[in-house]
Amino acid sequence: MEDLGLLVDLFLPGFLVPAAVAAGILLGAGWIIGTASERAGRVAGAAALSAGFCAAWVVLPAARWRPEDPWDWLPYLTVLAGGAGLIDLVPAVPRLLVWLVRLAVAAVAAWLLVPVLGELAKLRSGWLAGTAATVCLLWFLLEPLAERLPPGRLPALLGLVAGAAAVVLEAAGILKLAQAAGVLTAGLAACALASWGRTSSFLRGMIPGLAVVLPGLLLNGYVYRTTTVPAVAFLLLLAAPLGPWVGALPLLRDMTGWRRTVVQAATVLLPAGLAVGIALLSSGEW
Amino acid sequence: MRNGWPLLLLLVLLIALGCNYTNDNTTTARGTSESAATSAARPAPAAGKLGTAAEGSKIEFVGTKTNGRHDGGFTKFTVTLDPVQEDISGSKVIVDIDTDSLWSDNPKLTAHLKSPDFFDVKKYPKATFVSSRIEPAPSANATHLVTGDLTLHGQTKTISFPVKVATTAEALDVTGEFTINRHDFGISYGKGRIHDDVTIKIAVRIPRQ
Repeated sequence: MEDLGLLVDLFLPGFLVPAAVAAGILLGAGWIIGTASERAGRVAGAAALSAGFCAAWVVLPAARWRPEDPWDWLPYLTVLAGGAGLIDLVPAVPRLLVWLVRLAVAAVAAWLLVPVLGELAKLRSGWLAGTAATVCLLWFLLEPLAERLPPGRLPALLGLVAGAAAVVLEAAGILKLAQAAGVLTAGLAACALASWGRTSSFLRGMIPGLAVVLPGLLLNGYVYRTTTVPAVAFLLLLAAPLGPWVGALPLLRDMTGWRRTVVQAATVLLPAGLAVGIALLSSGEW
Repeated sequence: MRNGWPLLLLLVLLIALGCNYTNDNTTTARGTSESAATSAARPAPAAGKLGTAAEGSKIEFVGTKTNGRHDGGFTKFTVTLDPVQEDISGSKVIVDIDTDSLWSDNPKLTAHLKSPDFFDVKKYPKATFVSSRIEPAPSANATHLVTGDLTLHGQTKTISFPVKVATTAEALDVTGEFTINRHDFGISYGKGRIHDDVTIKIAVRIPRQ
């Protein structure tokens, strides 16, 4: 590839640096406090994803701390969502308040991430509602999944989805967004590494940030795309993280052992792989 | 899961909105792609009328990087000279470029250049240049020095560049070549690999009224 050098230059700092920062925090937390503390694990997870994004924003040449475009808010939103996701750890906080804070974060994220463009103006309220709803859906449905799947498996699968998102966004013609998806991939890869077979609390801390970042990237990738990657590729990637819920269906829920593992992986990887295939075919890259 | 049903309905709403948007936008995206492919082969001429740039006028650019160069330009633009006269020192030049008409020598690069990484044509569909001063500045390759405000990528900067004006009975031919620093206009993607300076080439024919 003619521009392989450029891709290497741009993607390595955007992947290796956040991966190293996130892995350092998670492995450090595991070493210092162990994995027995659910609270500490969630705090470490939220801190790892936020720190990974902040580190990437420091090293990526095109990243801006003063937001001008929706994706410039991503580091701030990972910190906000990560913090909001920990509010239920505060003693005596009413459950209602926890949910209200989560809904407020989803609304703020939607407000900041939906682009202000003339072509979206007519249906802006619909886009805001849809984005907020998607953030909520991912947040609320991924949290129980983190508990259901063996530790490490879900972050690995989600990392692959984020990696697929990076490929689709690259095919859509926007490398800045592909890089940001690479940062998310890095955080989740670090999480899978640090939590494999030990704890799901790291991932629980990351889920609020993931629930904000993934829809934000895919929405902006779809709106700003300059190739003919169709909407279905982006929608498949939004649905892929929730794939393991298919395993809760009556015919599949009693499955055990390797069959269960295969079904869980397939329900995530098939839509993600399909999205990548569609994106590469439609953009003429394949 | 029971509590997730209202949210599931909202996702359906999102998908419905997404589908509507796709239908509206697909035509545009395909149109752009075809235009880019055609343009990559040979850019279409600008529409011409009295006082504005005529057929065959060109606004092009050359971008360079550590391992090569790429040519590109715009197929839709208007150049207005007011008034059209022998001595253009007293005239004003207004250039209005449709950034979505961008072309390059590589279709994939064209798509990337239109994206938010570079020109961000959805957010900034227009680039303009409005002259504030045109003064005689004879040299080997130029007759005048044009100064004015270039608005590109939403950012305005005053630039000056030399042009050569050749007058005939039918038209004024204005040609020029100069560089701008893309970072001055907030186009900073690929810093270090893609060079900062971009060469702009203009070749505009303006018929006499």
